[in-house]
Amino acid sequence: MSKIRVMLAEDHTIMREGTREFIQREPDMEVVAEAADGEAAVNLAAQFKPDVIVMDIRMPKLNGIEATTQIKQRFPRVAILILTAYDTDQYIFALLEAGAAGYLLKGVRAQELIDAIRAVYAGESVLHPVIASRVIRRAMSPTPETKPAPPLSDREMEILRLAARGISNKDIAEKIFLSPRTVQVHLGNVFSKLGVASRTEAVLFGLKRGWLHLEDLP
Amino acid sequence: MTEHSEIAGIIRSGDFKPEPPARFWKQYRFWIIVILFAIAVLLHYPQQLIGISQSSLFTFLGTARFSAERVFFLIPVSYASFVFGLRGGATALVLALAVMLPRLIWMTTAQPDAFLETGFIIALGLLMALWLESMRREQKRRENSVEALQITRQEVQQYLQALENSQKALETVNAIGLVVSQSLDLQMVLETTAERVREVMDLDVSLVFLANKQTGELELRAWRGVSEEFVAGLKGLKIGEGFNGRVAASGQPLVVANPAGDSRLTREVVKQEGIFTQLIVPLKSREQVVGTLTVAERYARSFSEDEIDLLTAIGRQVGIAIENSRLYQQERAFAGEQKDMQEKLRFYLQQVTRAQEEERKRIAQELHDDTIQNMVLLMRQIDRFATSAGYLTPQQSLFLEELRQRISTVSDEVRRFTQDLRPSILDDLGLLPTLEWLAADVTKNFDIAVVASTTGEPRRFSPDTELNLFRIAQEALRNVWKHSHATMAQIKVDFKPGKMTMTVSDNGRGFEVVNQVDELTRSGKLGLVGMQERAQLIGAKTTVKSVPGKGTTVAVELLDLLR
Repeated sequence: MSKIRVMLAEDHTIMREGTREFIQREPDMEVVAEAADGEAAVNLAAQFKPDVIVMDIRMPKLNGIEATTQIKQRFPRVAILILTAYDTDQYIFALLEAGAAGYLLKGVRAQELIDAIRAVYAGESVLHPVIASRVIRRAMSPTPETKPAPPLSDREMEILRLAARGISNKDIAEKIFLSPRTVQVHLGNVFSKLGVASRTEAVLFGLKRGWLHLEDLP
Repeated sequence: MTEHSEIAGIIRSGDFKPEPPARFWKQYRFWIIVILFAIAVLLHYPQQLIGISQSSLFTFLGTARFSAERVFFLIPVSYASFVFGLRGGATALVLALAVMLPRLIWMTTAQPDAFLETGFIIALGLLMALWLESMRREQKRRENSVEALQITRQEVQQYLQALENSQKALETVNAIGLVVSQSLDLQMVLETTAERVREVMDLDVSLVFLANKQTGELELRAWRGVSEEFVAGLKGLKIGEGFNGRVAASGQPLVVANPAGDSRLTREVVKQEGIFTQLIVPLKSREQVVGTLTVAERYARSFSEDEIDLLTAIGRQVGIAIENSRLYQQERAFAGEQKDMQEKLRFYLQQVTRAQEEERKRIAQELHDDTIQNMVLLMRQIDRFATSAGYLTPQQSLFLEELRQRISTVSDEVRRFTQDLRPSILDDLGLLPTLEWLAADVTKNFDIAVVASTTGEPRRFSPDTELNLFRIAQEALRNVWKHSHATMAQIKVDFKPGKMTMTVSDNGRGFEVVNQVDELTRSGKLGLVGMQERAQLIGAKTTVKSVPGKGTTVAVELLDLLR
């Protein structure tokens, strides 16, 4: 069986050497090339045609996102595994869009990295657990373009609007002539219908969907 | 008997160490083994050596068993392997076999029994030696892992300490930068500098001198930790005179190890005040020295490169701020030249803004390249140690796991700090994703629902423009969470042909809008001034609309007709 040919793209020398050491210890893997910046990564990928590229985001000359985009355009079959210190959502989605097969954080254990290389080589995608849950949440969250009718009843919507203005349950109750207990129940229904856990999340949801406006007056 | 007391004496004299570097024959335990061996040999050949028959010897010793003397060999053998390891045990065993062989072959009457017994003793001796050896190795390994663990722990502790220090220093540069760049009151700039510098560098004394070009003198204008006599005693210090005077003249930082014997010292009050080590940096604006900043201690200490760099960086920021506020004061004095002065003032504010951005970028870069990477390496070292150290008790494993967790937490914090200084996504992905990130970040940290949205056909601007637009949005949101009591906020970016508008609005309590920069400065709304400055830097226009009780909207309009 031939070995998995791995290329490393990482500007921090000691970090790169450490990663190489992990990989070289595996009998079924070899490091065929190492790039210290994004431009070198694109060139070396063309020259060595690796199976898997382990790529950092912040690199001189060309960052990991652009390097990933360029490499995937020219060599769609290479699997790119991002290994970075950043867990910022915007990076994750930009890279998954660019065609990265996996996204790991640098604190990852050696064995997890090795397993991830094997997995992306086999065509699977690998996400750090923390990141996976965010990707799912993002996939489920609404975009401004999709504005379906709110699943909330008129009363619930009214209460959400008042809550969005920072009014306490007790004051809401007084305003609309209900008991605080009933307001609480309504708000609980709003939370569970929207799948959120707090007032702020519910307001954010409403704001994103365009149900709520800053100009709304109680 | 004599040997015994001698050994006891040696033990008492404290010479009893597990692994002395002396050669083996210099160790008393080697001689114990030799004596034990000699006794064993004596017991084995009593007739030949001292002329007593074996049976009478054993009757004398009260032992009935005939061949107990063979068993006795086990004592020096096992002691040898205990003291010198497998090699010592094996050597003793071979010697014992050699000693036993003559009797076994030529003298014994019951040969098969004797063979069996010798074989048994050799096997037992060998087993004993092997067992003791494995015990020794285990012990050694345990000592090694404990020692390595100790070293790792110390390293981590040192590292965390260093990190804490550097983080504190960075925060100070930022804090000082913020206050001095937003304040136009000269004395306040100087007092803030004196206060914060002493705090962050953890020193007794801080002094801020200003150069007076007309009189050619250095005036002490703000101080902490010194007496009134000291302040009075430094009156009329000439530029070029004494330590501070020299720094003012040369523009180079200076470390004074001990002023007492130093010929450059001109003021006796320094000695009377008990001031010892000093670090002096120039306050510079446009390469002109406008004053000096001194930190000092009343005992001997050294200043690291980092500390000198930090104070120099602070000196740069303070220098610009001083020039800035001087101009402002002049501006107020000469109302006729107001317009011209305002432009100059603007120029300096822009300089401060640029200097600050550069500094932030540099610090963020450094934190990412060194600090975060090193912490990742540290985690890898711990992983490697945990898998290769061999013996670790559950407590030790738990300790390592906690250590790893702690490093991970600290590095998350550093990363967050880096992003606050300068979000890397702004450089890598551009303005719009960064605004989304900012909205989510404020939502998470301040419990205000913030949404970022875009309309029209998005396009990119120069890095400088995008950075300033981002800072304006960041500042506007800072006002939202600091002052507005809002529950919702929106960042909207609208692209039209030739024009981009960014608005940040909230549903908070709002405020009375004042339009003059002067007014804003006086009423403490410096954030708004900063936004206007930044907008002007990129040729954009800001408008602030706010009605008490009905929220605030900050709008930035950027015409890009060139496209």
